[in-house]
Amino acid sequence: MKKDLILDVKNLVVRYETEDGIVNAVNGLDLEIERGKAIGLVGETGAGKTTTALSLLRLIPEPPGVEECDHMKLDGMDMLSLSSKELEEVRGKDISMIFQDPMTALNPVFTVGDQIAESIHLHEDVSYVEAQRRAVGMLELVGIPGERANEYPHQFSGGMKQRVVIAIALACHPKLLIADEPTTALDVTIQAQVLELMKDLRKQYKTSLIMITHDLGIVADICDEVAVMYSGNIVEKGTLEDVFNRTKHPYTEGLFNSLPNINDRKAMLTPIKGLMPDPTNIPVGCPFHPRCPYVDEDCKKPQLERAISDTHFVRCSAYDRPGFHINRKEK
Amino acid sequence: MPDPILEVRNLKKHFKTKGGMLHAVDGINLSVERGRTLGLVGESGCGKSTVGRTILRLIEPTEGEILFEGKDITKLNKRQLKLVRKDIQLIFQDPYSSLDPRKTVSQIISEPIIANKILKSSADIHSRVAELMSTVGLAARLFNSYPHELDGGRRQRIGIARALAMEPKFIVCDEPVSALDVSIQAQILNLLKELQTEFELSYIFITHDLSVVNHFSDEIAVMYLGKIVEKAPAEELFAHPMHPYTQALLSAIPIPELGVKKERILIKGEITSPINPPDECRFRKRCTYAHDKCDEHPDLVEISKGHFVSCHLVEKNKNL
Repeated sequence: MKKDLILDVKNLVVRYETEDGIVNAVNGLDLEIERGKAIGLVGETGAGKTTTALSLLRLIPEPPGVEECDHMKLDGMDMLSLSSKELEEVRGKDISMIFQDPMTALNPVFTVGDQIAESIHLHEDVSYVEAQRRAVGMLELVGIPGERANEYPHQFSGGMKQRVVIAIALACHPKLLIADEPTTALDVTIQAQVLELMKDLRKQYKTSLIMITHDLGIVADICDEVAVMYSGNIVEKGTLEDVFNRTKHPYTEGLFNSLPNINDRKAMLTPIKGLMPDPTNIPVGCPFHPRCPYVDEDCKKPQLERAISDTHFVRCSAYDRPGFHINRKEK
Repeated sequence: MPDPILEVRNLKKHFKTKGGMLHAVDGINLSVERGRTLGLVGESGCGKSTVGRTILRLIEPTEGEILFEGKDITKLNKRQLKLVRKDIQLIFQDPYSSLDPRKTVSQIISEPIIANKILKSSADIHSRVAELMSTVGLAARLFNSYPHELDGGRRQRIGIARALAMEPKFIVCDEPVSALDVSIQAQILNLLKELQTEFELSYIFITHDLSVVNHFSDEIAVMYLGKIVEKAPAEELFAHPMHPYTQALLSAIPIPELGVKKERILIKGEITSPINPPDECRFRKRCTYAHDKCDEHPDLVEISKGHFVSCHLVEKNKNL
């Protein structure tokens, strides 16, 4: 059966060619997202999560950035063939992004109402007055009283600003929403409010979502699928059950072992030894092999994606060894 | 037999602002047992960092006593204070801005040793720095590196080595792992725990991350708008949170496990302004259970051994 894909990216490579060397930010990433699904893109600083997101919006600055890709299709439309004028029409309408830091994502000299209306006015054939009216509606949708549309960003708290950013991103009902660490700058109780809001809105609009985060708890809360990124590529991908309960990749295991367990406070943390590799000098073969407890000679060869099940994929050659399994128990 | 290394009594810090008096810390009592960890949790603006800094008198308290090993450090003069500060050290949140970019790793770590004239000869200083670096797990080859050459985890290790240089008895850790990735965060948390056992350190651990504080602390105090609303041993607090704010806070933690879907208590609204707060329960405006009696500030009362709550409802009805 042919899957109804909202996003289909094959072999995405992004590198920055700088004076100090070539930074290999994304290295041959494949990503497919079915319509209406939410996928969590998880990884640590420098894994290439944000670069991947910017690349999907075709926002990588060139130069120094260089983007290569076999194909990148958004709802069947070839993103690579679009001119910059056409891209401007697509961004904000078909695909939009919520940035990490709501404090800097808004323009301080325009009212929040104007900033929401701008997106509507640009993309839809409506008068400015009508766009303003719809902006007020969007504000109310994200739980801010409509009469505050005439206020400026500095008059709002952090959680409220992030709601405004969400309102802008959703104003034209995009097919795909990319949220880059949308709650990292917020307090936990405010984070809870924003996550509940995003869940509700997603149900209402059936928007497909890429949730970029380092917090596996957030993924468990709002995503359908998870992709774990390490050093510019996806090392494990599957449904929530696949990745959380039947973990396969040693790096994913390391991430889980590094988290304090809220139900067992005496449990010792087992950090991953070493550091993320330098993106100008990525280890040959599996980029995780210098830190991996299960390493052997084959790990220095190029790693292929292998299917564990129809939904579960892992990039780890250790599974060639007979009877290999990681220590984390299946649930 | 309790043996508190630090006792804070009725500590207040008010800042004068254009809008009025900002009550950053408003009459809190704390005590830390020798060799133990007190976790101080709360959201931004609740006053937790101000508490940490006031304990070192980096900020002068408006009112209250800070007893370190029985001595009130608010009454010390400059010279006496300098002596006490050898025993109390601080680890900062941001390993990027808390290290002088123009100094090498060894210069940063040796600075307190030289400033306090602990060691005189440069050979002694050199070997002491090398010893400290190996204690915190910094490779000897980094001796002459500059902070910008290192990643966040290593920088935080420099901050820890610098704090240990004075052989302190007490360390205030102000969000020491918030700026770090999870795998690095686990390395630093384990290091701080090992150092605690090795040097019998006592910690105040300030954080907004509840799973970290639960893992790390013996006792936890929850702050809201300059007041402590609940204080209990860590296990007790997580098993039986009593204050409506603590309950909401705990329910808001995203848990990285499947099938633990729990009822999330959403707090309406945002943290209220700490400028000239009315003399009522600070959480009243956001509390689902608020009623008439809440216009009077509730005292922090002990409801079971070691478990203190500041809420009018808890006295009346033990299970909210």
